[in-house]
Amino acid sequence: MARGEGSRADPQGLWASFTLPGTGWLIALFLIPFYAIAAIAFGGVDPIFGSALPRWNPLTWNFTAFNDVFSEVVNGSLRNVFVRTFSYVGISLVLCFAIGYPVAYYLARYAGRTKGILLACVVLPFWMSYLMRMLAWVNLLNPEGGWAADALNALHAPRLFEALGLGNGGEVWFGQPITVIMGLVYGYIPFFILPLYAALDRIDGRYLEAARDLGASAKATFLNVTLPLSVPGILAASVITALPMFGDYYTNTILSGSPGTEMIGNQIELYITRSRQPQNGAVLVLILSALLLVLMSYYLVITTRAQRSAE
Amino acid sequence: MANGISRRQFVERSARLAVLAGLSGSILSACGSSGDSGGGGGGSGDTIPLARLDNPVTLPDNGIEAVASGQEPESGTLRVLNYADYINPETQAAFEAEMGTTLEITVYDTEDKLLSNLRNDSLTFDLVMGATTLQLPKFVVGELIQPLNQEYLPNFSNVLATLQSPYYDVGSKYTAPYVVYTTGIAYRRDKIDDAAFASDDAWKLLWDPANKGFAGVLDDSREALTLGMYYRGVTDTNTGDPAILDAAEADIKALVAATDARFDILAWQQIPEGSSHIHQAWSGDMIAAQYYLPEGTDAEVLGYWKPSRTTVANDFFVIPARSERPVLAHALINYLLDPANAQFNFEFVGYQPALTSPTLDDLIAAELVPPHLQSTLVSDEDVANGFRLDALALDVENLWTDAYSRIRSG
Amino acid sequence: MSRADPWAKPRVLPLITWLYVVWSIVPVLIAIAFSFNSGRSRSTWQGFSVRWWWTDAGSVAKDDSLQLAVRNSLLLGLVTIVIVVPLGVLLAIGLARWRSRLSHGANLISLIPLVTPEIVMGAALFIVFKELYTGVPLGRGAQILGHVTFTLSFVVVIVRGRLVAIGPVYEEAARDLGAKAHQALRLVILPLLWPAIFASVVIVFATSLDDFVIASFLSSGAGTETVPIRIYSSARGGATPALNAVATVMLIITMGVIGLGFLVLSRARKRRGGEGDAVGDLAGFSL
Repeated sequence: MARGEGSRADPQGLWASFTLPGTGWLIALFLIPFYAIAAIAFGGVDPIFGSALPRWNPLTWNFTAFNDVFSEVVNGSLRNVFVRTFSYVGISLVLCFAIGYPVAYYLARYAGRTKGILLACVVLPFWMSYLMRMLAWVNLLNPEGGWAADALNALHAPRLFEALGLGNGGEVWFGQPITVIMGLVYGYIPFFILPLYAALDRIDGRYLEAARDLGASAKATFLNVTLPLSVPGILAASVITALPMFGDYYTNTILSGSPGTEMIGNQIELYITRSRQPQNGAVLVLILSALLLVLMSYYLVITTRAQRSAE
Repeated sequence: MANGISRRQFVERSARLAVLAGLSGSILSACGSSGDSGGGGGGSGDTIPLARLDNPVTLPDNGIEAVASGQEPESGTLRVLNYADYINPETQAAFEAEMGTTLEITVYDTEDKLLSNLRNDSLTFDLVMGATTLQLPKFVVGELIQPLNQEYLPNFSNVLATLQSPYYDVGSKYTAPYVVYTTGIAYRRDKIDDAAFASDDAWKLLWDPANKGFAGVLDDSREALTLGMYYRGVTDTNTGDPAILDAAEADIKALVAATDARFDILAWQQIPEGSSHIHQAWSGDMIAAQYYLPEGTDAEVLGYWKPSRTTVANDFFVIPARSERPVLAHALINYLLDPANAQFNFEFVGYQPALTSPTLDDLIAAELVPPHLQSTLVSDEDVANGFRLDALALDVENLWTDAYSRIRSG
Repeated sequence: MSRADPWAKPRVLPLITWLYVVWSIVPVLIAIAFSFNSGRSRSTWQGFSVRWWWTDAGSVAKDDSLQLAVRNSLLLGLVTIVIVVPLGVLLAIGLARWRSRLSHGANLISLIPLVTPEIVMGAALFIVFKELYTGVPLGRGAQILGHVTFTLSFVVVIVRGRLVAIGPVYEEAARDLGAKAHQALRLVILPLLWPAIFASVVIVFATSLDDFVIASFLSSGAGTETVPIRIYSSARGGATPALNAVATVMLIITMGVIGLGFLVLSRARKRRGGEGDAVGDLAGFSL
């Protein structure tokens, strides 16, 4: 769709110049640091301090660390960690959707006068430090009298999660996969609900009325009108929620610390901050980013397509 | 060079390193250390003096001068690098009042953070607390610390006899001890009977499946792997032998499989709260644990066991080379070497000061240590007999880190 | 637009929603409650006391370092906003309007930070400031640069979303009436963007205040420690409920900022005759 291109010259130069400061900033402070990660992954280590010595020239890159870590990922101990991380994020995302979509939908369509209060309640945890909230869960899940632990055990939840493969059936919740997943969902779900709410809010109510007028049932309207219209919102919410989760390490540290729930973020943290092999941590970051690139590309394609068609 | 030193400084520094290489007391060669670290741009080969109990090291002069004697303590803010909550806020306040100064504490939570803070030329710190033997060689060779001037430390005579001239710093040129501690097992006396800990090999209790879901191991590569070693009666805590490390790795993995053990340094919180019943821990943890008991739970439930010979460690003070208030820094060290102040500090920190006074009896009499937790106290004998976790050569340390990574990967 | 739904009143949806709200807020209330704990624990109740608020040497009122951390966090958040919002608005408008093959590259670059794990950003920025941009010392300056980089993509996404919602109509009308491109921008688009700008301010502020990875990597010591750094450094070692008190103070301050933002938005919306939804704009993160 031509935008004023016939009537007067669209000042492309002006728009291009608008993007310069931001893009320049990102190149200087994002792309170059990202290159630094590669320079460390393929670089050396100070023999005295054990700190990273990046090699900026690709021709001098040393691939030993990369080979070691890569083989550990492909058929060593780190493979489990990657698989586990991806499955935790996947399950967490499904849960975020299962809980978040109804909440966002209700907020968008039905909340009426309570909308302001509800939205404030949904946003409130966003403002309390993530760590403080996790420590509150440590209190709630304490095997000796924590409310959540008592309630869950009374409901025989451990057996349920064991059957799903997400727990060990024990009454101690720390260290079980479902606990870490719950922690991830708890921490990141506001990032899911807010963009989804905004997208659902912009769905024109007249479409729904039209469907109703044409004789569709509530369920059919939802499946054929609302859900398809909310796909871009679901996608944006998913990406904004899931991608940070891949690098998360503190949820596992606070709620677990068990080797059975180790995530890739923990290994990255171990190598970068607590070892004299930071290049191993950098290699893990590169591998993780490469895997996420696939997801990122999908998101970028859909985003740009949607924006072009809206404009 | 990336950190911007001039050509002249580079030449001088290389020359000094070569001299240090010649002077260093013990260069670990037997365990297959190599100079190549992936072709790093620093020195060529290990020139760090690696001290061991049976191989004491006199740290070399690193070219930094100690502060001159006879001066008044400087005024202004004393910038201290310390762990979180590792000094009693009231002790801090008392020192500030006495010296008319303010303490600004920058917290670090890993050695790496400490090291990067000290190496950062744009930052200046006046005193470091909580440094350990693992970092000491780097500090000296990296010219990050200055020698102490004992004239400012009259209370130094109060230090434990075994630590007056420790193996890692013969003559106490650079360090003054802060606290001393052992590694043992913290447990709930109401869940596990004291009698179970009667023998010296009670480490095996951590492997007991009866404690499934309630067991813990220290989140530290050295401590976790030495636990595996002690289980087998192996005591070479600074080994580079892959066979020993592999066996320890397998044993810890077995521990995890048997008990679903979790890795953290929170025994001081989990044991009193009841989310852990048996946890590899440091002696100071159970003293501190008294402050984390829930309402209605008595300190009687806290227990600590250590064998007759176990890992012993002490940390210490060092003064950064670029300290702007070295005399004031010495004053704080001296303040904390005083028996009364040390005892008061102990009330909050929970880790025993490495001093002859207050004596173990003093601490018990002051009711700072309940009778059933006497095992948390560290005696001169413990220090003399203990095993140490010392600095390792780069490739050896990497063996330990990789083993720990595999343990944690599940 | 009629809000009277011809369907039966939903019962399940509000139930799920309120259950979610309870599940979501109870831990927050617990965290606040522990600031009144009489002992040193932050995870087990030992009795009621206000010692961590104003009587103890380490309390919020008496410990200068805690107050400094609060000030550092707020200052960092404010300066980040002042830099990132104009930068992001410009970038968003430019990307939305610019059509060329180069713009695809810029599009990509503007979105990737959104999907990069924080620890990657923090570690990378630390190395770069240490090895490459050695002229920039660690400390508040570096922290600001890091936070701006990290939050820029949020602003771009929010503003672009709003631009999509506004559509080309108003701008074209202005241009048809003889306005030049930059006049149309200044007099028509910018005022319409106002809610999105405010949404950006609020989101960036929240993100900056709860970031500890980047701020920690780039801090220069006690002088530039922020609240999350204090909270996280103590998570593995001993800490006191004074940190809960500090977190509560931050919560109150940020709620105040949102409340303010909401008031401004509703007033702006009333003035514009009600186009869009103030609450929706506040949560306006969309394509």
